[in-house]
Amino acid sequence: MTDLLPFLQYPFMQRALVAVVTVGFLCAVMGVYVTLRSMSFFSDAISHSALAGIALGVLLGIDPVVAAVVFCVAVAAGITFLTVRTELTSDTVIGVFFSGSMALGVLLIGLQKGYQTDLLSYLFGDVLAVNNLDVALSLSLAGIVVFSLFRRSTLLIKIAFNRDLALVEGARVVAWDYAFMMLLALTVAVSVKIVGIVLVSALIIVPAAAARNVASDFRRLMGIAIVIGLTGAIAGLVASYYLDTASGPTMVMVVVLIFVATLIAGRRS
Amino acid sequence: MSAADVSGGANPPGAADVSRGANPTGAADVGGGAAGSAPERAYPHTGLSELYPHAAVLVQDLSLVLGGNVLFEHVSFVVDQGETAMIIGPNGAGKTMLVRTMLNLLSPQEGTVMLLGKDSRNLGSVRSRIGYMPQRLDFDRTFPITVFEIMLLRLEKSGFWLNRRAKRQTVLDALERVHAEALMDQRIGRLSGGELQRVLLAYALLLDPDLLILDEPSAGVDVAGEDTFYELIHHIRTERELTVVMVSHDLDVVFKYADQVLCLNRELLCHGVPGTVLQPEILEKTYGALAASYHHHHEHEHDPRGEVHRT
Repeated sequence: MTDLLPFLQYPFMQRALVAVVTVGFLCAVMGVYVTLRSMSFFSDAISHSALAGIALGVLLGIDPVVAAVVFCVAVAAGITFLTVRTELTSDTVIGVFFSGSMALGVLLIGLQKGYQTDLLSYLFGDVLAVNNLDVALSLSLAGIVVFSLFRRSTLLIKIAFNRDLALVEGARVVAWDYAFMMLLALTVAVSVKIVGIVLVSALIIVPAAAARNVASDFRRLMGIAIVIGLTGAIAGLVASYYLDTASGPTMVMVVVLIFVATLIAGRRS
Repeated sequence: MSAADVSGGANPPGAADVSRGANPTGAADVGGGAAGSAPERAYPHTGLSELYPHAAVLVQDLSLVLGGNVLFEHVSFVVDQGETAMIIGPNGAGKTMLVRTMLNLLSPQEGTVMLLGKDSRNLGSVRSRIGYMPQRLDFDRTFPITVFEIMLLRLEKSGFWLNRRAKRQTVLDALERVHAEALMDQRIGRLSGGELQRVLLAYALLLDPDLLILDEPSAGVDVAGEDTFYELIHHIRTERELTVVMVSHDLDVVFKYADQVLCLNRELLCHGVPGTVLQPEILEKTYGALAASYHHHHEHEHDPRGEVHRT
């Protein structure tokens, strides 16, 4: 194995590979539902709000990823609550939370003493810095999210397809709105350390969007999105190793290139 | 009630006894004697099922106010098992709102709705016996999902990803009933208006419901296609006892297929056998003077239910 993929002799690369495969798979599955529900902007806002969570974690001396999970979930719940309970449109509510949490994040970073190299690595991710705890945390959270998404996929697809039909059939639509946002917040928090705050929503949206260009049914959509997500994650990591580039942006560039290819292929057929 | 009674119209007065004769105002008399005094329209809600043992749909004193606008008020009616009831009225009369309130998609200011003997706010297991077809289905037409996969959503207990081959036959049978079997593997967003309606009807019928609620099923379908759509529903009704409540804008269809008609324009203006209650003055009240003269119908002597002919 190490003959074929020489970089795998390094433990940090082994951890990185496990991490990107986990995140690539998780983000692709999540992305199918996010695009189905037209929630790209929401996922963007959640990922950016992770900045404040991480800064808060560093400031309070707790694990930044754990702090990010809590903060993202809180922001997701806040957005959902205001969208359901007020007359405001969801993009307005998201816009408020987006900018508010970004401002808070930058303010909190300013409160830190000294040079914040650790904090900045969260902006664009640093897969080579992940430790065993990060990998274990990613794997278990990803397992929970993916299991939930597949276990209740009929319900989630039905709600996304038409809320009235789902309501008439007895689905607890609002409860599932909250649950879905929580799952999305978890996905973002898990992925932030690997691809970074700025790029995590790209890894969620782009594989599903690319699959949508070529898939003829929902099963293929899911399958192709997962393949693209995994390809982007693995190829991006390997390419970043050889090109000596940042891994997060390289992974995103690979999936964007695949998106362009599927766009052309989809137009032709 | 057999379908022959319904469509042949041999005994409209007899058939009308339960639902039309004893209207819910009468029910109020029996239940609490509150009828006539407008402020006390809150009828006792208990025991309605006993009063109407054959009722599939029981709507009592239903009023909907949204943002200060009264969309409809004090609507009461009963639909017996196996009957077809059609709701007519002009645009903005509150027809869709009434259907949505019946299904508890909107919360009424007052009144109750019983579907198949259960309060619509707490339907429980009765839900699977109710098929619903919305007027318009808002969905993302670009999303890659096939007719087969949409139908799988209705068979939710058995999951979406597994055992697909085994479920194909069930779905195929359902689609054949509405002559849509060829659409099985089509993407839902690529269907024409009429095709989509057929698929939605198959979806509503998939679990063999006892009650079918259709909101203006012909909206967006060409006239030739529309005829066959109503015939389709009518044909399914002849195969098994099925209660149908549907919104319609077409009086021809009402005369041809409805056991009872409900004229709605913010309130219930008529309620009964179409041939009996759809008199010009009622139509005028419902639709306005112009429509009433337009729809003034000439009864065929051999057909007591009457046919509408547009001249």
